[in-house]
Amino acid sequence: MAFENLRFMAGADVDDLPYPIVRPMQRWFDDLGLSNTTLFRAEHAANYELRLINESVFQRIRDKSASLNDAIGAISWPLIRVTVPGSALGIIPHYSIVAHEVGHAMFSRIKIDLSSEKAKENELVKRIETRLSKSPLSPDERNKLKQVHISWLMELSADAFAHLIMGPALFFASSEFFQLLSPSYGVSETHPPHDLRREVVHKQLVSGTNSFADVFKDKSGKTLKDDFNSNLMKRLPDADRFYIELNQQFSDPVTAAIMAELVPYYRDVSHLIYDQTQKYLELNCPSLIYTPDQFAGNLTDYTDALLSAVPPIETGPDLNQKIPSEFSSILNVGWFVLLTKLDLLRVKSREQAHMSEKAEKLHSLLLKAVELSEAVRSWRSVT
Amino acid sequence: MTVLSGSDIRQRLQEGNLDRRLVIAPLLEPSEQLRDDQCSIDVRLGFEFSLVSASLYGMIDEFDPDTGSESKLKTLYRRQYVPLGRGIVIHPHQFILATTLEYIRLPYDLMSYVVGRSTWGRLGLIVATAIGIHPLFAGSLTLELRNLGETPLKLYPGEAIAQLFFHSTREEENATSDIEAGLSQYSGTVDMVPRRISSGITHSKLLKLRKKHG
Repeated sequence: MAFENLRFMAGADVDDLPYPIVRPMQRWFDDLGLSNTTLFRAEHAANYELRLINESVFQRIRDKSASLNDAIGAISWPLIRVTVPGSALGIIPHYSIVAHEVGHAMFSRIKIDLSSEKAKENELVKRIETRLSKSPLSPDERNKLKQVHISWLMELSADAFAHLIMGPALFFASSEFFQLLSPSYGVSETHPPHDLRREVVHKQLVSGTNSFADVFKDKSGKTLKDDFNSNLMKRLPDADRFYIELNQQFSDPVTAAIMAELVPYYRDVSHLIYDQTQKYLELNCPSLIYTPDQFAGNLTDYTDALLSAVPPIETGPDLNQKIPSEFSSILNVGWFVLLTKLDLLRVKSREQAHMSEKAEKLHSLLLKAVELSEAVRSWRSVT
Repeated sequence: MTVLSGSDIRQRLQEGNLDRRLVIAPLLEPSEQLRDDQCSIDVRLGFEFSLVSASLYGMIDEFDPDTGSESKLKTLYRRQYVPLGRGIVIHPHQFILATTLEYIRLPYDLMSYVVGRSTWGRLGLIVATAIGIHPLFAGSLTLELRNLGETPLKLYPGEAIAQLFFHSTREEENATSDIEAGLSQYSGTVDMVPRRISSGITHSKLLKLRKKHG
């Protein structure tokens, strides 16, 4: 049992974990009032995960040493363990996905309520019944619907939370991560299809008069599309076709019907998830929200300097009044350069590995920016 | 070649033209680190250290694949992260690698020398042995710390450890044009741990000579 529990902690060493990112991510938990003890650890896998570890798993160890008892007593349970890819695998802009994991920890607090769209939920049930040619659904089928429904809601809520605090960086990171995970639909009973998640976040990026997409277009000349103009992105087919494919994949018409019909349902109600998450953050932690104005300001302040090998550590013309950069600002500028201007990054690289070395250098510049902006904050925390 | 005064350094740090801007960031206490009546700027000790571990190798030989390759050189060091507020002890005659806290980027027309602060020197700490920094360097400086004294010294990240002096490398009339400056590429240290001892051509010629005579 003790050995098994030690595995929970594996990967928390400096050599495994890109340590500068720990402090800003811990600050999310602090700012949101999540007072549980948090452990960050890295795994040599493309895995971002938030897991709650209860005290009970340690209580089952017999004849605990005094120091272990002290340690158990010092933890604010349940312990939150955040897993990220190891130093060797993690590209820093991808760490925006950790915000999605923090979103999971916030789900029970934000309490998304979709009851104002009850009619749409009734339509959803009717469409599933029609597809299965039976009415009403059996208690087991209703339970299944409830279970998939809530799992998908949790994922989409975590996306909404991450989008609100990270802006476009979440869209870029998750889109690339989805491709890495699976070039297929990426749909399961616990996760909505990648295309739906991209579409819903993209809808937020283009909404409003001065949207993130407007800023992106203004600064890069490129339109921000939900498929990145790439035919590698697996798009969802129409609901009928999707149902047929899911039925083949899962060999279960009930699961297939539920998933196929939840897609249009969540397309219709996703605005509620975003509105309610935004209201929660505005009320409880407004400083965490990343806005299009901030995005525009960050790109103006940092892009040219970053291309000239100056990490986005701080901003401001006066040496005595520099403002340390936010984690979200660093990652958004990083993504912007990575996607639109990497070839212009003025760092020496060998011809045969031109772009990969530039990407590696960009990663190290961003990591340095995170490390040093946090150092400024720590320094100023004492007077 | 002119040595920059304190006010010249300040001016270069605030230069609007990115190609001519000197970057030393962050300056945690600008008024302490940079004074107009001095010709240098103080830099602080960073958070990452590489400690030389006891090794199984009889010697480091750059032409011996068992000891001289980059991957083998890495095994000589153990990395240690020390946050602000914590310290690391360097024992008498111990040698460790450290970095500056500040990120430094030199423009195309400035070079710099790293000089240990005399306070540390008087306590026996030698701060840097490879002291020249070339134009277009970009990165945190690696410091080779050695305690030559007889007393252990506890070092805290954030302490002022060294000072940088700057020289202009060009007379104004020979200054690189803006176009050339705009095309210049920056390079710097990727890691504290050395990657190889000799550069490409020297390495390959010495290797051939070693085989011929060896």
